[in-house]
Amino acid sequence: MPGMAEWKLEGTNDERQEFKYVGTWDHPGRQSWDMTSGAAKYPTDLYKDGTLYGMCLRSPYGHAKIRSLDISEAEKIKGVKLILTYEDEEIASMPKYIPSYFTFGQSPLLGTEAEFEGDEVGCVVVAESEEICKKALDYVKVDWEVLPFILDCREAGKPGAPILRPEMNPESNMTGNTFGAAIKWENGNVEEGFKEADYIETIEYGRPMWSQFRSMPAAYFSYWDDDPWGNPDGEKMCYVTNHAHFPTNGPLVSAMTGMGLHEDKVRALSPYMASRYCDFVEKRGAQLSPVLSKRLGGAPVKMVCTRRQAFDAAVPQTYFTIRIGFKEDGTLCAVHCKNVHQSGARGGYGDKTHGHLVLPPNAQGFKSTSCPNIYSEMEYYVTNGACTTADPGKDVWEPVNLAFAKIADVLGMDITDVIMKNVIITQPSLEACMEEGKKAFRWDEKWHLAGKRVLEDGRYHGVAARACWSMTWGMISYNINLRLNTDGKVYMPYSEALIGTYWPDAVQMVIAEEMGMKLEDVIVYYAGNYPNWQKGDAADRGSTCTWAAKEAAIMLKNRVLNAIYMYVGAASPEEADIVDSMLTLKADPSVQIPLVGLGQFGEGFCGKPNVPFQNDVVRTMNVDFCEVAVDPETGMVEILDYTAAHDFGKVIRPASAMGQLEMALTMASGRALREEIIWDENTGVLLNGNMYDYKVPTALDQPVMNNVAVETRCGGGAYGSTGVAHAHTNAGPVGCAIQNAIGGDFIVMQPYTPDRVLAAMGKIKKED
Amino acid sequence: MRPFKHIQASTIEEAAALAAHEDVMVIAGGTDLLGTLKDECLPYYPNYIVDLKTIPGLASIEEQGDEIVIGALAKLQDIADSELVRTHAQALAEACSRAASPTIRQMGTLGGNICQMHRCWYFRCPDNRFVCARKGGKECYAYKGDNRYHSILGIEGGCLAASSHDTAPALAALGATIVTTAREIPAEEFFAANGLRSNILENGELVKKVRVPKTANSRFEKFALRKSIDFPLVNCAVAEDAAHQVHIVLGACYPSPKRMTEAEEAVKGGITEASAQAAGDAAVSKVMVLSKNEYKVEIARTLVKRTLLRLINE
Repeated sequence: MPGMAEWKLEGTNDERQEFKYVGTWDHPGRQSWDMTSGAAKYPTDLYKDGTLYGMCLRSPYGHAKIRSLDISEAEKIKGVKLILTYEDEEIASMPKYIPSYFTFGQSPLLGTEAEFEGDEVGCVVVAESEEICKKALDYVKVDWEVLPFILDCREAGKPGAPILRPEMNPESNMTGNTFGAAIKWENGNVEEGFKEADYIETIEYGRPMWSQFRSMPAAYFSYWDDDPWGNPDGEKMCYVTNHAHFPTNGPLVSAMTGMGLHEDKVRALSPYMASRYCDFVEKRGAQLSPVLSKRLGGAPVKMVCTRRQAFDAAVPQTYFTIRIGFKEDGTLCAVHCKNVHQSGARGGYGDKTHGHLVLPPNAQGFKSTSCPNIYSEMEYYVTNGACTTADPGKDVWEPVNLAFAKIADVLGMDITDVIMKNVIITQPSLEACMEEGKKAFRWDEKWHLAGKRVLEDGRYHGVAARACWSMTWGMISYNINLRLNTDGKVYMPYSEALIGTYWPDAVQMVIAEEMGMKLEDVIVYYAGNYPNWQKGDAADRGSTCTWAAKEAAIMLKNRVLNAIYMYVGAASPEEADIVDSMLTLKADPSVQIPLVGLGQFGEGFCGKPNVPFQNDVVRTMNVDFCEVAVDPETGMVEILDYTAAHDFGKVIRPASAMGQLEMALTMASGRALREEIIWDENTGVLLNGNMYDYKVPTALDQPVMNNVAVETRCGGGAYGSTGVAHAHTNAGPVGCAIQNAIGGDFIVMQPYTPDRVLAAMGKIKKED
Repeated sequence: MRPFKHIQASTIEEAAALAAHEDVMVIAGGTDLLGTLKDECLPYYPNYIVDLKTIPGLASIEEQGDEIVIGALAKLQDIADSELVRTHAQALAEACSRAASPTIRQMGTLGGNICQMHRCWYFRCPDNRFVCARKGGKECYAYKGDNRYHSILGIEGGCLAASSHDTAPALAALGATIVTTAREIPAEEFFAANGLRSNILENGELVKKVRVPKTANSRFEKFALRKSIDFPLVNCAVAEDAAHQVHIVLGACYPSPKRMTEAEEAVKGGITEASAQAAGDAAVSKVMVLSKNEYKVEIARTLVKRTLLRLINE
């Protein structure tokens, strides 16, 4: 158990067993009322008198360069207030701040080369309405040089393929990767490992680009104005949409750093983001809107885009070819893995001007198995499809589970036995998830060998199981500031955009628990004027924010008791306590006084659990079970039951935790059965940038879910908690269940649409 | 969306006279038109929109002798819920209940459904990006492009788009008649790829109502990737007329719904498992598959069989 061996919980109260609020239901969240009532203001909702609208010129070609641009006719259109081109000095100098790992893939904020159809390029128009913006853009005369484009990373890697970003790499379309990760690595001796194998098989896996789809297209609203709290240097304050949850990568910070501002010159607006997956690729509008506003004397400017344009961000393609060697008993002994990965139009996961992260799935997941011999080789290529966004981590287990499914199929074994035999992290978490999950799913009743069960209605029945780690991301510290006010309530401000992880509500419960406050006496509130106050890290807040909140709450409680213990007749702080928001004498709990009017006390904790960096931080596991019915005549797949057993370590807020599971499985089901971004291969034009043709699941498509929360207290957050983050969004288990239903080969490409299922059954020819 | 002038019509004749002008379009539920205008996917943009909803008497569902007469403005959900339609034109009720989504069905009308433009993603690409044969161009981009959802039964009017109406095959199978401001057209002849239109209406010609013969036995089936808010990959309607002849119409397999006469021949002697299967086979015996849509053949084959079997098993 390598993960557990290095892990030691630090801080206080991690072994706490008695909880009044943590782990309980029916506590409406900070965002609940706003979001269900419609009171929440999203960036698209923001408006002030005199609001102007901004839109960029977008490329009609898959890859093209602007030879020249004439805006003279566009400027004459009534209602047009400003047009800036790539030649504008301020625009040309942005962004002014580039984190050190942005070492490749840089593009100007508004350049002359469009890397994909719909790419923002050339000029930006500000006008009185969106319609006028659009009209003005129609009047911009552009002399385009149309360049060759590539939509598939496998094509980009072929000898003789056009070089798409020669300034990045003049030799090939291969891009750099993050932090200098090794392109090839080997554990043990793979060739020797294959010699030991009783069986050698090859498996393939392919994934298309998936949209970050957002039901509400992004918007960025900004204005400059005198600040009611004062302008320290006499200049106006920049108000800008808070549209991100990453402190160093998000649009709010982009706005600041793009203009070379400090945080005290920026006031964040709405905390709400429209539904989306991650927030990369969102910075161009965020960076432009404050610049445009400033150029117009501080007038409110809202950068907008259409729904189709919002499809310019995607999860990247990835393709695996994996040779596996395994023994008669089902243990892996050799893995040879080749991964071809797409690094998007900017050469990596990143925003619209940078590709700054390339974290190819490769064979990392096999390191968590007992297989001693692993060879990994990866290639990552720039393409013209769209910007790609972060999707690291979750894919790492796709090839591993596919390998397990192949072993189980070849040997006629139960795949859950193959998983337990091979996965070496993280006990007791894996065992607990497997046991609870199998029970909830009724695995023992449902599992069978491939192609062996037909339902009463004639459809083929199949099941699959897959294991995955639950990463505890601890990249950046959390800064939690608490204050006990004279009104007897504890206040915690935050300024981060809210994306549906509901972390303030979990933090509220932890603070109440640790301080002895009633839940309603802990006030978590959005304080957009203090963007520097509270910063979290990645999507998985279960690990760091609850930890920091717990530490801060304990510190504040100690400070309060030290100052006021005597008011209930206690001789020392140890003889007093806070119970239900009342200062209480431990020896006689009937002696209580309210905390009202006893003074103000503040404490803060900025930090994180003492965990290694990012993907090394694996503390808990989760197991998914999937049951499908396959129509042998049409190839239609229905997911009958999708059950996740997830080790949260400790569930802080069940409504959030279980909701996150359902969301992730819904996402997985859509990706498995329908979702893919489709471009016209002949022109590079996006074909399905709308909600009809990009087929996210509807409520009626939702499978039955019987999810189980497992609690082993092994996580890195408060009380051993951890989060869900990217786990469960794998589409792979559905494919394995389909193979279990129809027998034969595993379907290589996702989504598992009727054409691919029919081809797998030999009813039609297979795709090239 | 670009601005336009909105005119509320008082009579269908007034609306038809206005619609004869080139810069005029008509709106009823608006569930198709507004998206089209937002996307600016057509070669031109109207200066005027004539609202049909202000015309009285066009939303009724009435029994008239051996027919059900449905006004062009009748809502899809009202038709799906109508006991009259469910009893005497079950295929149409089922088609209306499977169209679009519950909210769209509360707004979308029968007239709008049968007049909606094709859903081809080249035809509908925003900003009129592909000037295809239907828009005066020289080619159908789906032929060499991504045609996974397109016609498997050949080309019509230079177009390979698949008909996307759910009500169309039901109306054709039931032998309905489309009554316009100018003429009466059998449903089977009404639908066609015709410039921007998906029917043979001419400028200034509007649908007033639809006459559906009462039919004791009819069914509709739809195959789509989603259970709601999705257009058909294939749909199929079957109806047994007064002379006990079975009419079979496939939708989404050709630019217009297609009567499958060879399939009808296969069940002339009665519907059985074997004859239904034979009908399915006959329906797809003369296909013209494109590079990415061979799978639709199997779905069409199956849907014909299953819809026929529902006719005898339910």
